[in-house]
Amino acid sequence: MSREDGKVHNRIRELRLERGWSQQELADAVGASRQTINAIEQEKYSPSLELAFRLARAFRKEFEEVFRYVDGEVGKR
Amino acid sequence: MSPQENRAAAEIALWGALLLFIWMRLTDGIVILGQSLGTVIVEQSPGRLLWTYVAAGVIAAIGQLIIRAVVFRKEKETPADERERFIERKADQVAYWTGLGAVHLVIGHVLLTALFKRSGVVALDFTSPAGILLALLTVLFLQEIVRGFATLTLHRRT
Repeated sequence: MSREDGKVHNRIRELRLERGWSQQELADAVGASRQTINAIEQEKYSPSLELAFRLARAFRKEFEEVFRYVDGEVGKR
Repeated sequence: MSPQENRAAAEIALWGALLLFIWMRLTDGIVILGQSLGTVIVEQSPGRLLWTYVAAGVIAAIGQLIIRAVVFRKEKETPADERERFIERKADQVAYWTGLGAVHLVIGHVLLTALFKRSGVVALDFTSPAGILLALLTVLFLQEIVRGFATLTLHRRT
């Protein structure tokens, strides 16, 4: 049996649009580049814990309201 | 494009031009822009080899100074964040493995040529001073070119 890597999903885009913020505004608020915010929204890049906490704090949300970890599939080798 | 992508693109152009320069100086074959380039290494005097090496070094240094001066201003406005540093580390890894692979290719080529050499003319004979210079500079420049391409690709994929 082997467990494949899980994936981190996020609600960054949804929360950002709710507040009417641009990617650049969010990027400036958390000290990242606009391209990084775009990559996180598209789930191409998983942020470090520090940046993930800064993002959650920018939305005034708990960490787990913004990020969700989904286990990988468990399959036979 | 971010400053990091601009720098990668400029470095690909610089190292690509330098690679072309040393191949034009040290090899013979087809003629491009009045300069020959191919798989036959041209033996040259030590003075001319030294001139080629120093000229490549001077061009690389001037090119790097220009790139860094231009990019440094942009990077001050938008410094690299964690994703860009992650991409830089990944690109360094790709460049390292490329360099390692290229060195082993050169070693393999030299050993196989020595083992199975039959005719007088060997394509890319790396055993002469000009051949050694060509092989080492090609590996170094190739590493930098691959680092640039890896940086650009990772910015699109990551």
